[in-house]
Amino acid sequence: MRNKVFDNTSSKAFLNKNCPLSGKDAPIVDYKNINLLRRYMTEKGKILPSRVTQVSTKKQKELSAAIKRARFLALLPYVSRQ
Amino acid sequence: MLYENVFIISGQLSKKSADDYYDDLIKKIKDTGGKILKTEFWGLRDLSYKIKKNSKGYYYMINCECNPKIFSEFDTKVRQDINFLRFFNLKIKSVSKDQSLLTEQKNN
Repeated sequence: MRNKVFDNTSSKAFLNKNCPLSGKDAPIVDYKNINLLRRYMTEKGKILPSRVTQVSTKKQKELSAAIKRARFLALLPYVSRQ
Repeated sequence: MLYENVFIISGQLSKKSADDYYDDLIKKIKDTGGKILKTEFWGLRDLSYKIKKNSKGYYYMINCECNPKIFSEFDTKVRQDINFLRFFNLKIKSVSKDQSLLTEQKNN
């Protein structure tokens, strides 16, 4: 019985509700939207893990691709020393 | 196929000579039978890190429908030309009508 209760909480619908980048009003993940990408990076310039930010796996993949594109174009730093 | 291309040209040049570079690129795309659908100028921006000893660069974006064989030509240009800092190329599904966020920042 215990397992059944646990399964309900980890259902897909529950997970999607938490993701800040999925859903109707979510912002579009794009390499040109630098201010959005900055929110998902550390001060040093590392990409934050999805377990910290609650981003879904699908969106995390898009996010990391977008950040890497922005880095190549020098819109975001690879490493920032401050 | 639709493509989105971003070019960075050295910030040490004047805007006029950077525009000449840009006109050259557009000419090359048109000469090979490409269609230019949308262009954007993102302005003279600070680079997050130095590229070829430059700390500033002019950003140009071109959305076009063209033969992908030209892109290798741009890649060799990046290697050979000191003032040509970056060439970035992306396949896209559709061209958005709105101006991208980077141009808006510049206007404000």
